Amino acid sequence: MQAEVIQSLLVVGPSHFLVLGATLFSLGVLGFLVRNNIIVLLMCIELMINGAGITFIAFCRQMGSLEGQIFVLFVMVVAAVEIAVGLSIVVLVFKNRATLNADEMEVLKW
Amino acid sequence: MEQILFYIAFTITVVSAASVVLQGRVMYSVLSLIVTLLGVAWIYAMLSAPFLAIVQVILYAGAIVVLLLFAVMMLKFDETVQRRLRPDLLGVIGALVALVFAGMFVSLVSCGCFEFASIPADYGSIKSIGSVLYTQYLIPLELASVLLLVAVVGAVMLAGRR
Amino acid sequence: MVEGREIFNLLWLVPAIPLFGALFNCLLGYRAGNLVVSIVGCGSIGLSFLLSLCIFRVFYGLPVEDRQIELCLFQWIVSGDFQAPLDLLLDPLSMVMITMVSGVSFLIHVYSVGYMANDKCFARYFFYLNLFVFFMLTLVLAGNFLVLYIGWEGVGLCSYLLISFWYERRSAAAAGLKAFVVTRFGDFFFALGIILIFLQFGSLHFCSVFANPGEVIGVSMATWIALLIFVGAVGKSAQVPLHTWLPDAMEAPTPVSALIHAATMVTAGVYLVARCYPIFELSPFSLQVVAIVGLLTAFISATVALVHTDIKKILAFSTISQLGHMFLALGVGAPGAAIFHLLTHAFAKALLFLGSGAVIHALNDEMDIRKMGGLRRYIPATFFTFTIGALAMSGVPGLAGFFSKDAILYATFVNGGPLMWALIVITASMTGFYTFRIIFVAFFGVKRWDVHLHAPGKAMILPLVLLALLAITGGYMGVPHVLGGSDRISEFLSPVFGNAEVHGSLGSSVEGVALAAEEGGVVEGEAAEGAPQGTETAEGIAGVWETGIQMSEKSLEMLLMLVSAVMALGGIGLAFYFYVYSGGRDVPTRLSEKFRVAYSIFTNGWYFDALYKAVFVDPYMKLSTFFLKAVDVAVIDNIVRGVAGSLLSAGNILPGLQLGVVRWYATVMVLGAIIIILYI
Repeated sequence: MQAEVIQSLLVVGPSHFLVLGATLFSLGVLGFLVRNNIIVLLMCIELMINGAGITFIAFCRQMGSLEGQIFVLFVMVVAAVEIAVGLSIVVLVFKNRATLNADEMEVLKW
Repeated sequence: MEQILFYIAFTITVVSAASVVLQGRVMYSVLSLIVTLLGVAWIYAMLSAPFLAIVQVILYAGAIVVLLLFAVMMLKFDETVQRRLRPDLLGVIGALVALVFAGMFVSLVSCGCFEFASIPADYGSIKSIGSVLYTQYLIPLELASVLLLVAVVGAVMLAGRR
Repeated sequence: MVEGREIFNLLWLVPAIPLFGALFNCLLGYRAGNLVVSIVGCGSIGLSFLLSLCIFRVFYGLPVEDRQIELCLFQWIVSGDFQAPLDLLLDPLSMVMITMVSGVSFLIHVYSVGYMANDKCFARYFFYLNLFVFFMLTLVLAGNFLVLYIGWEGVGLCSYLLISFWYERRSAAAAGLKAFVVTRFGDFFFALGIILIFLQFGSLHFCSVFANPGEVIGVSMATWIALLIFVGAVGKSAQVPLHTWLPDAMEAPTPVSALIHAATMVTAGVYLVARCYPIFELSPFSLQVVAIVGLLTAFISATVALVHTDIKKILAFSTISQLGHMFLALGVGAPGAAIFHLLTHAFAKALLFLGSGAVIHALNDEMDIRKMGGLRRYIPATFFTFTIGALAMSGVPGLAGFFSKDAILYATFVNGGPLMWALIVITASMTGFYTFRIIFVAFFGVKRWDVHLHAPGKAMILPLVLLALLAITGGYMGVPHVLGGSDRISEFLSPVFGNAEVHGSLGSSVEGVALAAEEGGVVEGEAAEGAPQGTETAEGIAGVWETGIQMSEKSLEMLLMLVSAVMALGGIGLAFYFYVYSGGRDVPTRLSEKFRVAYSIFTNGWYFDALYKAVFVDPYMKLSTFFLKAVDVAVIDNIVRGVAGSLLSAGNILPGLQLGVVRWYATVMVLGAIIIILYI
């Protein structure tokens, strides 16, 4: 029993990478829920995206296909777009409200 | 050898990601993020995706983080207010929820029932990716470039407004 | 110009050009100005007319068995077994119809330019008119029931729009509504008929439905389908008991009355029954119903027309009466004669309406014939053309109406029996009376008006003259064989009504009837086993055989022709005696006092409107009031208020969850994700 666990830890398989991706994603979630600085929130989103990317690559490596890599490439493009637009929104918000605290931005509340 | 490399990468990535989340200063978070992204690039390389690893280093660790650094440096906000994690009610609830989520998610994928498939020698090479990308995925690629253009215009419109 | 068969590929342009005209007038009409609008409006119809003439020329050159052209434009709806392509069908019937529709429409468009010149909604008028022509051409060119239904509803819509054209007038708006509702009533049954056809045949395509209907459906099913379709036709063609909308529809501008409510749209019902003739043929009962309804309509509306004083309403009732003639012809197994009468009636009635429009226009919108008189000397061109129309209408020998009406009378005598024939001959003489009553009252006698006369302009006179020519010559496409003609129209149409000779269609085989009558007994036996309605047919033929045994068929036909001509002339003569010759004796007034009951029945249109008001409108209003008070206020309002109130109170609770903080939303989202993972 113990030997099996050690064996499974020593032989690196897809699950290891999946666990890494899940951990990264969960850390991103944690940061998103706990922090309130918008820039940090954006970075947490990046963490989640990377966790998803690792999962993609791990699975496509496991299936032996290339589609996952292509998708991660597109995800990177989207992430770049998201950061560019998101940061410009952050700049705009900071100009108007002089704060980066996400909790203070509640004007959309009805 | 492979295990050692994996566990080193694992440790670096997770620790730096935790540092992104837990650091009080935004600047430190950004610097930790660079380390995380490099760790992810390492993982990509280990998963026979060398092209993606390079792109990760150049695009993410290069361009995106530089953007973030610019934003952090140019916006003169008062760091003292947000320096420390304040354990308000919402934060506690959020942390609990996130931990439950993490536990469930990690246990979901750590069943160890997957095996790597055998792959051809040129798997993940730039040539093989390029041939797929420019034939089968040509239209999405063009659309992605349009998306980038729109994002650039949008960003200028948003931030550049007087 | 495209020659040969290729021209049929342009068939879709025939309805499409008016549609372009309509769209142009709709979108750009107000900016473009009246001149451009009238050029586009008339030009599009004119082009369409020219095209259909070219098609006709090529079509006529085809061998008879090739005269059926289908053109599938595109697949419109495909769902399982159900297919509804947008396809067109060109056969002799639709060929005749598109030529007539586009031709008469063109003349009326030209006339409208003069008539509507001072109206502020010039572009809107031409938009509706072009749209109407588009729908009408779609209707007659349709290759399946669904496309036909599109055209059918489309012309109904345009009719509504045009009746209510002067919507500031309350009566016009009400009349439009009435027309729409009454025809909708018929359309509903027509739609049911279409559904039934689809259920039975599995297809809506004309060619597959009509190829061999007898093998698919039995007699009772054929009766159901035929009756449902016929109710639709009754609504559209204003037959008793759904005729009441047509007289009210005279609120429309007069050219519209001429186009829609005399020449084209109202004949759609006749066209429909003619198109579905293979189904009607299967069911003798439905044919009888068609004949009786047609006969009653012809008679009742003719009596009303005798006493009416509004020039347009007289013509409206006359239209209803003539449509009744057409249905009678269909019912007695002479669809060729019905279509022939449809054509000649279209020319004559369009002419009469346009003429009356010129009169009304000249007298500043005066419609009461008692306030006209002596107009002969003031607007001579209108007088002459109107008289020609009236002569053609009442069936004076040599003009268009004579030949077609005579064909109907003959078929009625052969297949319907002497009683029907007597009634329709009386109706024919009434036709002569009421049309000439207009002429003698309005154009002769003393002047009873004192307004400044607007003489009709060239744009109005020209169509009148052209239509008058058509009304004179139109009959010569169907001169019956006994008069040395060749009855080309029936021959042309005969492929459509393929097996019509079973019950002795006059049009397609006069000799066939003659032969059948001579060998009546033999045919009786044959027909009885040959066709479902064999006994019916054989009885009719036997009836002819009995009455006509001594004289040969030809002399019988000549005699009938003579009788109808004499009756028509008699009607005209009576009108002359009543309104001109009698001078001061005032025969009509004394007659109306003597037969007061009949007179009041006639003037009130046989009380159909009052009956409908008592039976349908009033109970409906009472029911509505009841529901308003009892159900709406008491029940529904409370339910609605209760629902609204509970939603409001719920709405007061829920905003508590909306903190407006992004992190809270994200937390809830992750909770949702957890639930999803748990589910997995």
